[in-house]
Amino acid sequence: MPTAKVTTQQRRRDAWFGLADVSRDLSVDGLLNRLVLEAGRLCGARCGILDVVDGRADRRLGRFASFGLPEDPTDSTIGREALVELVDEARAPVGSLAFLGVPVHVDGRTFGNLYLFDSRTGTGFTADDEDVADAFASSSGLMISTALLHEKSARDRRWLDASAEIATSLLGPVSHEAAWQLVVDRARDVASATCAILLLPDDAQGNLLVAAVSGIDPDGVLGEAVPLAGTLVGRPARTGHAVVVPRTELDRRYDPRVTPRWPALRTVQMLPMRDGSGHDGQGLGTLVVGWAGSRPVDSWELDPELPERFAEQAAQVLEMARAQGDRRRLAVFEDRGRISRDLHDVVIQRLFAIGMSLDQTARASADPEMAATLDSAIDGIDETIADLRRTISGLEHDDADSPDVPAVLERMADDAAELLGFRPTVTFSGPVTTQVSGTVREHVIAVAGEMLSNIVQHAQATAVSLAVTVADHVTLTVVDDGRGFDPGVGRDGGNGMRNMRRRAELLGGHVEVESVPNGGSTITWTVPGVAT
Amino acid sequence: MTEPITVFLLDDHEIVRQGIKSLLDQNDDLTVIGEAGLAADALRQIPQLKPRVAVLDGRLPDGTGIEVCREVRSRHPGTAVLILTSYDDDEALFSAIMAGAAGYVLKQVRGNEIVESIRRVAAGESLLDPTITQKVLERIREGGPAADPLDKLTRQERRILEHIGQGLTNRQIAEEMHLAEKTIKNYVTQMLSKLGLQRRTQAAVLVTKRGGSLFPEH
Repeated sequence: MPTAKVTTQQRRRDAWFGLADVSRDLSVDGLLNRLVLEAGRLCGARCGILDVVDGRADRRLGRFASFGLPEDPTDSTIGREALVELVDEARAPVGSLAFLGVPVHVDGRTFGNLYLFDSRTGTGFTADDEDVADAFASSSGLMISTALLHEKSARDRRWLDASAEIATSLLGPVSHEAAWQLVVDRARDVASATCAILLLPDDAQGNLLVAAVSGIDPDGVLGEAVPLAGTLVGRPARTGHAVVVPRTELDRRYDPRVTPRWPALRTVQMLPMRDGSGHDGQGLGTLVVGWAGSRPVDSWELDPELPERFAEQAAQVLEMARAQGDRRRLAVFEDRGRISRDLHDVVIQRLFAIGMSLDQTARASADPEMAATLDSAIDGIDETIADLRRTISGLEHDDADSPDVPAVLERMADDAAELLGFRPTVTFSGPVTTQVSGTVREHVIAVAGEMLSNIVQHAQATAVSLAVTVADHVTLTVVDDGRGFDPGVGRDGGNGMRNMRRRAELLGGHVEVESVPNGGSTITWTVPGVAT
Repeated sequence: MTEPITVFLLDDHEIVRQGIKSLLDQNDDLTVIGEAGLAADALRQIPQLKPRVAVLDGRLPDGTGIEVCREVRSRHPGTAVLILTSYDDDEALFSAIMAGAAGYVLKQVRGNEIVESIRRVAAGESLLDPTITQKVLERIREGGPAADPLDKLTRQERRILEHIGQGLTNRQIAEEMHLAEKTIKNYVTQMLSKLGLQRRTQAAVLVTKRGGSLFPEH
């Protein structure tokens, strides 16, 4: 109940103590809330509102502080509706004020207005109350100004620190994935957000793909595609402009169904993000910073200016990571090329020389036992040379994109390895890349696939070898040590065998099958060398 | 009996030369009339000895085997050349074509078809199938996703490549194009370095291009 005997002087002194108390915490939103509450206490009001109108401080979003409203407005738009209603309904006896409204100035500009309603005495507010509110409001201005400055600089510093950290990461080697992860982790951290999600363009499809996430389980989200066109997430990537959604449930543009695996977000900020591919206008992605939970996000946090600068900085890191990755890959290929040349030019050359000399000795030798020993040594050398060539070929054909037969069959062997539990050996002999091209290439790949899949399904083999030899003919030979089958029927009731034969005959070739039950099988698929 | 086929051997490993020599000497219709460990010696001797067939190591310490071979063919077109190569892949074929050789023989002790190959090329046969040669040349022409446009073959170089594919010697190409033989030689050297670079970096360039996609491992 009001203390009627308190003088204006005392009340003003109270106001100062109140302010001192209020100013302990310098977060702006917290300060505004405490200010309006304290003003209400001083003037004996049941509810109060501090409506911020300063566009400079406010930027895109209104701040709104209140107490005593039947429903706590979480959004300035709703808050203002409540305010209009309260002003309409405010009633008081003649001679007193139905409500108090005093301006709050910050740095010489109107920052907002403080409204107080429903005096607890039921008699309305007195001129004295107004005086106190006015004094309180004008003293608040300085504190708000300080808090604004403090908050802005603290946030600026966080983003600038993050940008600097990102830039520093350039000093060491960065992988793409590590750079992406750093970007989302820092963005989430700095914004005190629930999650951060980086989406980068998928060249061909017109989609954005989730490249990195922070704060949520990457399982199922990573690699997820979001259409670039027609989605809010795609907008920053399309337009290069940030999108801020303070309340997702109030913004029709935000459709959570587009990203069903993401957590329910209350507030999102989406920033344009270059993917570092270096060309302007293209390669733009989106960095999403999202907040879940019921607590409203400080509106300062949603000012996209600094996050945008952070994204710029991050894009440079990505670009650098890409360049580093390219350089590394190039170095690997150059290394492999060098190793391959060394093996061919030095090692095989020497082995060949040694083999030739042993061969000479063997032929000159009168001792048949000695000759036999030498012969087997020579066979060993030839095998070693063949092994070396196989190894080199493996090095050279380790290219995930190459459509050449050796690379395709190596990949096929990799896939079969997962199902078989061991990797089939693959060998190539002769100018396979050049000569097994066009139609022949298609058939060889199809037949090799068919043979391998039959073995995987039926053979129960423990060793499989696949060889492509190009001389006068192109020959594909697949040998396994499995259950074997009746060559007349084939392993799968004859379907696969018929296909293989048909493919061979189309090219003027033939298929030979050797197999005995439990004795393994050898299938040789041969077609003429030069496609006509 | 007809005159034996005269053979010249060029390989920097003496053991290899001896081995091949003893292998060939077992055949009455083949005779090794000279050998060298260095390209320069071979280039001096071949025009004097005029062998029917020269077996040249595709890789030599004093110059690429390809260039030596072209030189031999230019100075003495009557000598058919077989390239002795460590490569059992497209590289062997490429080298043989660029060298203007009649074929190539693999470096392996057993199952070596060197004797048969020498007989065939001595009889004027080419072991290189013209269709395959065309394919290889096509690959070179199209297959140049060179990183740098400067690495691409110029029009002049492409014309020379065409002639190489037809099996012309440097001298013949020079006459055909009204250029000095030395100029053609320079062109070939330059082309080989471009193509070598091209083949080496081809994979890397592909990778670099692919770098644009998001998940290269999938």
